Amino acid sequence: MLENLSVAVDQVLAVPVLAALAGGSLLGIIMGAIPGLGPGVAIAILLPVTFSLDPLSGITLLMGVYAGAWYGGAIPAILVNTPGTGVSVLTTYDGYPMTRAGEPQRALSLAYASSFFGGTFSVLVLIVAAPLLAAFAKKFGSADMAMAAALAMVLVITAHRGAELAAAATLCLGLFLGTIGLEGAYGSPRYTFGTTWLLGGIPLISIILGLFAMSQGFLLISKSGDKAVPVEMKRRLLGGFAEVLRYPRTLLRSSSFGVAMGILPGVGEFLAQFFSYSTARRGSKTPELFGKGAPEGIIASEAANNAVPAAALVPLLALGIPGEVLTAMMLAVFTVHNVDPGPALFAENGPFVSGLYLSLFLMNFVIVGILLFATRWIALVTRIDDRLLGIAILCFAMAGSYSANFRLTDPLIAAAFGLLGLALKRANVPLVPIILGLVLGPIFETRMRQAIGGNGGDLSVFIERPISLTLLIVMALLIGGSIIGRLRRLSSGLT
Amino acid sequence: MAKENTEEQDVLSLVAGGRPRGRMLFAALAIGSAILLILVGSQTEPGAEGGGWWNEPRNGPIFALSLMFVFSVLAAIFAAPAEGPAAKRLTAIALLLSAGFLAAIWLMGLIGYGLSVLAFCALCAAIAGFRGRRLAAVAAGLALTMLVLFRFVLGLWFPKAALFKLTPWLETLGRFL
Repeated sequence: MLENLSVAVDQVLAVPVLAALAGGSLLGIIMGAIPGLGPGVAIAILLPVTFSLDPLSGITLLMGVYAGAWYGGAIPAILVNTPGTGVSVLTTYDGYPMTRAGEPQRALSLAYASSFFGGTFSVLVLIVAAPLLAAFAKKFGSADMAMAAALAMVLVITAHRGAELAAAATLCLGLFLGTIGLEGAYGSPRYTFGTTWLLGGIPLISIILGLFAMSQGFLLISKSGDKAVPVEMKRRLLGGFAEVLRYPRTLLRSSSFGVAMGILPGVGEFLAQFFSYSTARRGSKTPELFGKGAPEGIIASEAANNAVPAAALVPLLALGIPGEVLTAMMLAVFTVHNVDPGPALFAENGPFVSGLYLSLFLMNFVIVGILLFATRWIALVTRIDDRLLGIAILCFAMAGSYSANFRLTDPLIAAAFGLLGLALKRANVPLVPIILGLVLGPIFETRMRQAIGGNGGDLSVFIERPISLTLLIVMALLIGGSIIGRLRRLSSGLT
Repeated sequence: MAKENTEEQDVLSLVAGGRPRGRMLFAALAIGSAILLILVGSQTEPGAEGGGWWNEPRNGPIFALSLMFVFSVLAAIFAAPAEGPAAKRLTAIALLLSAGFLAAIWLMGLIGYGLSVLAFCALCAAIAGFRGRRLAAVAAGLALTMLVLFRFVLGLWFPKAALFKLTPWLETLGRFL
């Protein structure tokens, strides 16, 4: 234990890791505090940069952006009633009324404290749960891994309640995109249309830059430049760290929701926030205050959100299966550096894992430190003209997509996916399943081939193995539940 | 209880994103997947004889495209109608920006990274509604920021542009642009 800690300290004290920790956290907070950006855009832009870093620095940088953005998203949600990120929506419910009542510092302080609790709780769960799941995953055969990947895809679809069909269609688009290029069994080309530049497959970087960064750039450039003026703050922000302790049940329950939803593939912050908020309201002694400045409302929303990022790493580290889009992007960093996440990671890359745990734990302290010191200045970024941000994003995408291979086809793909992303966003169609389909598809195909081939072409392997059978039953229940839910909504005229 | 359920529905609608729109989009996806399915014979090669049906290269695309076709058709049936003229204006802006984006990257081979980014920033600023001195300030400021960040801070290498091969003094200038 002490040896692991010493290795972790050595890893994290390296200058590149410390720089990634501080830089990623600060950048994440700023990106989260600017309404309309968020970690997806930042990670898409930073992804090419991380390929030149060592794996720990690269992942720390991206996790800093991921976690920092959820903290930073609370700032405009509380001060100007505009969520910085999509997952800060419910923070506006009680944060902004508190600001209007003349207590913006209290609201921000509560948000930071509950985020800190959720974030550190989640890292502790990651430290305990990931090795356990990885140890259990050693029992997984190819059939079980194929079904685990399939379950992740089913969860992604069913989590998009009300948009399951759209999510399924876009997931299948991602699956198809993942088949383009040279395939694994015979090395024969698929859907390359005789070109050589598609033999290596469609570059993930170009797709991510297009779908998440460029589409957002297009939207921002077409906006007007008017922005709300943030509230001025003068007092300190430490009070919330004592106040949240008056609501231990809400804090613990919300963090647990965040962790559970983070671990489950495809579910993530949105449902964690919803369950956490509605449960906190039901369990509160003063439910009538919710939506009018209830401290428990802020705690429920923020603790749940911030418990997700570290928990989302559990399936990625233990099984090699990313549960949501940001960890899917991080999988690219592992792939570039020939680090295979999965059960063997803990045995083969122990120092990396220990360093990652420690950097994630420290990250919450670094982020809170930055916020306590600099909130008043960070709040000013909410005033930056959206159009300038849009132009800057397109310039980043230009350098990011072209510098990967110095060929025009990569930016062309990025631009095409930028237009597709814009169309999907305008049509309220989820983008996330495309990336998950693209990343999970090859895992699913390879494992299916190995499982069926190893059983002489007999499909019964999927029901003969207990783990695979259990996963199949869970999938059947999820699909059945989703179909019944949809039929009920149809019969009540909702969709 | 009924009131609470309604409130929960409100909260869920805020976080769940709402009903997808755009029948034409899903119809296009369905047509695209159908065309790609038809092309499966010419765009994949058969596996070796005796290699096992599970190893056939075309299995993956057939599986993905068939499901994509079915779900796109169903999504098109259940989608809400698309938006009106505002969406068309946005699409036109996005198309123009994409064309500018690709043109700027193509121009990098001719005039270098710095000047291409300057031209692209000027185009974006004009499309975004900046005019006169503000347009010039925005374009120059952003282009300079990108140049400093990518060429000097991150040290990103770009192929030497044709313009900077013309004379020795241009070559010197090209090292910074």
